[in-house]
Amino acid sequence: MALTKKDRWLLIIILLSLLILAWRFWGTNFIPAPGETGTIDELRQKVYLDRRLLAQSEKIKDKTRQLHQAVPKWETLFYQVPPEDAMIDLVTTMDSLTGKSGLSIREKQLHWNMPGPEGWSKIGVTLSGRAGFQQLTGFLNELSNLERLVTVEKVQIQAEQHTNLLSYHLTLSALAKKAD
Amino acid sequence: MKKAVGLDIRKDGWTAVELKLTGKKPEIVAVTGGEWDTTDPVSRGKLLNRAFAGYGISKRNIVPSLPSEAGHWERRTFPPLPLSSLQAAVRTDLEAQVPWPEKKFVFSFREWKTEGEKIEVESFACPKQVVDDRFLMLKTASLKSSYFLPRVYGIVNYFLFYHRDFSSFPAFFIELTPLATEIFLLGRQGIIHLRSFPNPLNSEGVYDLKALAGELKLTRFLLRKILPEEYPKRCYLLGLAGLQKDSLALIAGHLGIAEEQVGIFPQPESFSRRHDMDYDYPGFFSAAGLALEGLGLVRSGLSLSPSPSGKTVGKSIFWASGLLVAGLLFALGGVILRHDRLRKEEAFLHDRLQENQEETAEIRQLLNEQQALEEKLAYYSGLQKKQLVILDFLAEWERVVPMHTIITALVLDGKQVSRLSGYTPSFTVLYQAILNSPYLKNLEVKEGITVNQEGMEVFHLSGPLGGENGFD
Repeated sequence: MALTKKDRWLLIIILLSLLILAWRFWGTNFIPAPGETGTIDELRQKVYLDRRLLAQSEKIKDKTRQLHQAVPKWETLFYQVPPEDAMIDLVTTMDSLTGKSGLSIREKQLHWNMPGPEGWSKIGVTLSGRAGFQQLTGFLNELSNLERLVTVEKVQIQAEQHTNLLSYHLTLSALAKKAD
Repeated sequence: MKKAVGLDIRKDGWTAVELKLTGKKPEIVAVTGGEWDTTDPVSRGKLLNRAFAGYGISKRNIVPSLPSEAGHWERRTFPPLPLSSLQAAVRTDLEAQVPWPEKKFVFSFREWKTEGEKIEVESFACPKQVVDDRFLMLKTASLKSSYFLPRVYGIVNYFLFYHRDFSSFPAFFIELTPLATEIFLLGRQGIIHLRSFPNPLNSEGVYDLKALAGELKLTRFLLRKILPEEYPKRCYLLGLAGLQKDSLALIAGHLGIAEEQVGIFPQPESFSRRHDMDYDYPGFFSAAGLALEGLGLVRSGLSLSPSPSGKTVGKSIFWASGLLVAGLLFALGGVILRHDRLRKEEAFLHDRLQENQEETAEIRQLLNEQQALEEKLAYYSGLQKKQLVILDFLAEWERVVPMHTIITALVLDGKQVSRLSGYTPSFTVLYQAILNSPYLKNLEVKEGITVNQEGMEVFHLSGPLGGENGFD
């Protein structure tokens, strides 16, 4: 292709312009830094989430406040004393309750350091013995009326042949303040 | 204000006339001319470039001429044909007439309608090489032109524009330039006859009027044959023809017309004549007529364009490449702009994140706290439910099972029944009742169903207690 002098100059100017543009943008800041590619979408997502979060901030604060009020109310149901003291109280209460319900206790087994929630220690007692069906249900009903929350972890009942009695194993638990 | 330059290019030299259009009246801006000192088109182009620059003549809208003596002119009659067919017919006719190979010439034609069914066509063919050389010359001089006209059409243009009321058609025109002679007969419908030849010289190197006389005699015989009823009665002399001693009498005598009907071609009085200009350049009328064509005031209809040579194709490729580069530049610009916009957006987003960082961190902490508290509450609530599971189970069992169903063994670990054994009068009835209870329906039969000594069906069940009955 034969080009005139003027056309050749024009071509050189265009090529030079391209080179300068390439140097300006590729050479300095055109190529994204490693790991930078694709961050714009993540950033947009982050800003969007932040906006949503800020819009809900009052709601979140209110709910947290309500939870802060509700949790201590629940915790009043637990023993506010160390596990050793709580165990004495629990066993005494069970003795009193079984006596009241007419349950005969053959054996008591104590449980320490069972897994519990943060700040609380779980203690327990397994009661074994014989009782009538009405006595057993009466005892269980009484449990739900206690000032402290005593949970029935496990129940084992076996009917005895030729008598109307039940052989039982009841594992009960309660939460006590963890010693600092 | 529109301007055009007529450029008469002859063997001996050149003449340029620049016209400008003021209202509807053309006005001469510049007249100049010169002789060639070379035959090389590039050197001639350089000379023109210098001359145009020196006189300050515009280099745009140039209408250059082609020499009549280098081409082939003819007027023929054709049947009425569509334009494309007519073009093919004219080409075929010219191929038979011209001495150049088929693809080595360019041509142009103009059709004239006659009273009959046929049409008359005036055509002019010129060797491609001549046109390309002229184009190269103009290109070297940086003169912008897109077509050429045979130089006699410049004269015709001039005459027809300034003598619209002329009625003595047909008329002879004889022009003598330093190296060539043009004789043509102009009718109401264009040129009827054209002869162009190098000036005949005698042994002393002077124009041989006898040879001219012979040529005119031949013309006279020919035209008497073609136009027996309307033989021309007038003749105009241009250029050196009017200066030749005894030329008027000689021309009149040999053409067979009255001597008083032979005259000098009308001077350019119609122009707004400028006293500082010299109008006696050879080819002045031709150049002025070409400029009139450039202004669009007359149309001869016989324009020839340079052939699409390698240079033209090369230029097209160059511009196509230029377009491609421009496209690439735009694309690159687009990418850069997008990149720039993304960078700005990224910076803006970073700012926003930074701006809200403290507040959002606080809210996130609150959320974590909220989650921990909710988990605690769920745990505490679970403890309370666990306390009631055995009572819920016994209440539901008593409600759904048939009469005389007795539990003999129960192991309940949280909400999981590890073992539930007993007997019932009909296990089918019991099982149907269990399946109907949402709280007990997940209990599955373990081991086989046996019958004890009292004839009761002994069963063993295990499985999780459901949570869909309202107890939870």
